[in-house]
Amino acid sequence: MIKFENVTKKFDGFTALDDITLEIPKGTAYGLLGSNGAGKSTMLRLLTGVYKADKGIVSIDGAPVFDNAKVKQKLIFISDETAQYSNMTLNQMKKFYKTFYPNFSDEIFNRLHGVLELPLNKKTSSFSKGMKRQAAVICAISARPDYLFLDEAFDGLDPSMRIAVKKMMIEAMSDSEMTIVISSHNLKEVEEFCNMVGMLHKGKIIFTKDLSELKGNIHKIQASFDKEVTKDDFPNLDILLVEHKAGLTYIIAKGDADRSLNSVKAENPSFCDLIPLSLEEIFIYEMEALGYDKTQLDS
Amino acid sequence: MIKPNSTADFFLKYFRYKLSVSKTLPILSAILGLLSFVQLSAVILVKASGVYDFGWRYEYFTYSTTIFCIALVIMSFYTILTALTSFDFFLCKHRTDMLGSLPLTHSMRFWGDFISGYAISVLPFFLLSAISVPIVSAAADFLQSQFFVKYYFYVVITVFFALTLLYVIGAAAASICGKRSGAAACAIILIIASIYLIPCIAGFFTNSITGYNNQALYDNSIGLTPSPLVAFNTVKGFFEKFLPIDSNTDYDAVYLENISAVYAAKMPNMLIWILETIFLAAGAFFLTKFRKTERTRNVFGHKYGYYAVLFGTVFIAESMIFGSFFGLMTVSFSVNFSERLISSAILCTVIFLAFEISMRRGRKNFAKGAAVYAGSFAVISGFMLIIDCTGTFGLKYKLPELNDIEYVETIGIRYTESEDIEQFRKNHAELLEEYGNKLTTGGIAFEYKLKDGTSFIRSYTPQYRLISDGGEYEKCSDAIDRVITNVGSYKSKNSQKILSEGYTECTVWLKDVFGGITIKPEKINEFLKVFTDEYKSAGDAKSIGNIDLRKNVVNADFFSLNENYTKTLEFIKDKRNVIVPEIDEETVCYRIYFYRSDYDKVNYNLYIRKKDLENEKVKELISLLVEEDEISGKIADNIVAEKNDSTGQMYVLAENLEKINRLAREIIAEKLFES
Repeated sequence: MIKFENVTKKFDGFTALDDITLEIPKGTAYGLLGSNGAGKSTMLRLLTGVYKADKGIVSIDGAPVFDNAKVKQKLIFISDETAQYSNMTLNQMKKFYKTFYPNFSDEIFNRLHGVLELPLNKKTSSFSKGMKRQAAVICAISARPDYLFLDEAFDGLDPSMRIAVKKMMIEAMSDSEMTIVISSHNLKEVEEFCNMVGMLHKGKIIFTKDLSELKGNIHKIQASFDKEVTKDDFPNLDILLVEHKAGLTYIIAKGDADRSLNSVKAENPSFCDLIPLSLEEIFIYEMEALGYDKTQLDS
Repeated sequence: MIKPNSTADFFLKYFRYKLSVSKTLPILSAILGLLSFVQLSAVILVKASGVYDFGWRYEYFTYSTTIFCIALVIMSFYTILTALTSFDFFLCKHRTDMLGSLPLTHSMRFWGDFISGYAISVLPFFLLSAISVPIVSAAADFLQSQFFVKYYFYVVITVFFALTLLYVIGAAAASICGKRSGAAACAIILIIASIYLIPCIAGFFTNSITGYNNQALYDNSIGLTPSPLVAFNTVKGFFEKFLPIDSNTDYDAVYLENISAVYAAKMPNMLIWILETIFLAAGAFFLTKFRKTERTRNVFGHKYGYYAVLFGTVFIAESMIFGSFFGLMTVSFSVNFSERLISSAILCTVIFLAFEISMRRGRKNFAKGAAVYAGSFAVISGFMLIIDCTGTFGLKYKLPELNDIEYVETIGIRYTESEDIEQFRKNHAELLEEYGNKLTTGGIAFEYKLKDGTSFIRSYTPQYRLISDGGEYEKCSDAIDRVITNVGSYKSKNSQKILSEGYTECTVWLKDVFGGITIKPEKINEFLKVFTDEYKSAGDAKSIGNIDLRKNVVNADFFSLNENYTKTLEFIKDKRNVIVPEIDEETVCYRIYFYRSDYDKVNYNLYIRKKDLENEKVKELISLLVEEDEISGKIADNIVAEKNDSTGQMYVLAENLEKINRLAREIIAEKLFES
């Protein structure tokens, strides 16, 4: 289990992470979301022992991560910086991972390499950004760590490669109960891959939830009324937002889906339907409900 | 046996990984180290040749020495750069992410980086240099190889410690900074700081910092040897001792003890080097332990690094101006404290502004920096004021108090009488007053033995770069001599010295007379007695020649022969006392010296007169003599000829050595000439 307990990290007076507390259970695919500068990369570096927290404790399986070689044997970090293996060939990268991670599996490496068909003896400096990312993922998965951390996991990958990489990671998780933490701007990718998500904004964690729970708890109802309805017309509902667009009313509400639908129907709409929300929409509405406006989020 | 996946196991894995990514670097170091073989073989070749063998061996020696010294310079740059690259975890962001998440602790990573970098830079060079000594010496069979091995060993050790120190300086720079460029600049500052601060520390521990008799602070050999660069200054000097021109010198211990590389490799200098190395390595370890990883790519690896470096630089700059360390020898009393304060304020402000402009820290930070700078300057100036009050500055101009002096000794003459000591000290003070700023250390040493048992030693040589005028240079040299000679009992003391010196050869060279007059060996003591009696008592008069006194062919002392030394001149004119026959420039065309094979003594001389030039053997012999500019190959270095109408010397090619010896022997045998 990964644990953040009241973790604060500052850079020359700038607070990158502010009193973060969260838990990520073992075997989870955790998506870390947030805009640029939200603190995602800082959080991953704290998780992998690259940075030391100014306050609070970052621990994995009950032991602090920073300067702890034993704990770090269980984890691999692939940062968004692709230049780190530039001087190596894929074969050398394999040797490097094999040196430090005793569980490294040649069999897995050969299998994954067979899928992605990367040159083994060419310096990775000649690779494209996507190829470098693939090479790093192949090695990391082959090393069979308990915890895999990827910063901007799918950055630079074309759609087919994204699918292939995701497949590899899902297989690794099912084979060895690997915990994967990824950070991404791409909410769609996270939605497809993760079963738990956390949202960071300006160094604070806005929420951390199981994805199905998150999706099951927030709904969008599309309806048509002959009058203009407002939040006040639905006192029994936990409404986040009521929008009017092209003669239709959209109601975003938290809570049980059936109860929400019935409450809307009670107002006699000429048309009423439950629309599934994408993760992106959920985030936007949640954030708006918390007082962040859309323009601020986009910045 | 190392347990798998233990701390030691991971450390070794990391160490091996670091070595594996630097395969080509140790090869470069090894190649540079291999130049030791080239250099040593050149020394041996030259040593095996002779005094006047200016052939290919000499050129080979000169080139190899130059190349070896260049190799040392390259090695020092390479060593610093390797240290900076070995610690790139602190200097490159992508390496920080990659290495920071590996299953390593800070200690494992630091020492892995440290030892692997050292192993690929300094060690190959050192090992090859070290093994080259016994290998080359064993291969060469020459008389003094054991002597050479002993002293070259000191050079190897000095270079080894110097490179180690440079490596540690590189590591310390990487631990202070967050960027490679910043670390490189920091390494330069640390080297300068090492040069300036170490003499101070050395002086502090070896003597009182405020004492005028602080020999450690004054003496360059201690003052500079702890700095890493000194090794490279002296290595060339060491090899130059083997140049053909010097190869006749006695290779006794005293002679080579003076080489600073040899001096540097001895205690307490080695102790200071080791302490400095340990201090810097430990400093680098702890600075990296407590630095934040995220400071990579910042110029400074620590939050207050800028202020610390600013303080340090201001301190060094102000120290230089005030002369608290190095300048102890150079700062004149005539510059008072306030003048030095103004000068250092100008220099330090320029440094501060240069720092601020190059760092582009913004207006708010500029104000903060200015406050720190002002505070630093005030604190350091206060420190300088304290030092100034203790009278440390201007050490160069300080002489022991008369009451503290037991006796004075110089060039083998000891002054024990109080009038002599007073006069000597007065002469010394006058020399400093007149030429103090134009003198450097070296040359004749003046030693004041103090009543507390310590010694106060100063030696002076005029500085060419400060005295360009030849006449002025000569005056300055005379002023140095006058400190010794302008003492009442000098002549009697010097006479005693001459008589006790044990000279084995004595030649009188009269002006405008070709050739010297050699005093018969059994008459030398008698001659010296006559000469010193007159030397002591006679007043100044015109010099008409020189008396050349030697213990061997190279170490000579010259004394002026004045026209009023009548008894000495009479002694020379008496044919019973001299070897040289009645030869003058009218009759003698050539004088040829045949040295013994060990060059220590002249075996025999051969004089060729005008009337002998018609002799066939003489003609043949003269045809074998070549001018210096005609030499194109190896020469017979134990034969030197002088021609009456020429100022230069003539030589014999080695291939003609046997022939000319045979001819000379035949000519002598025929008793055609005196020898």
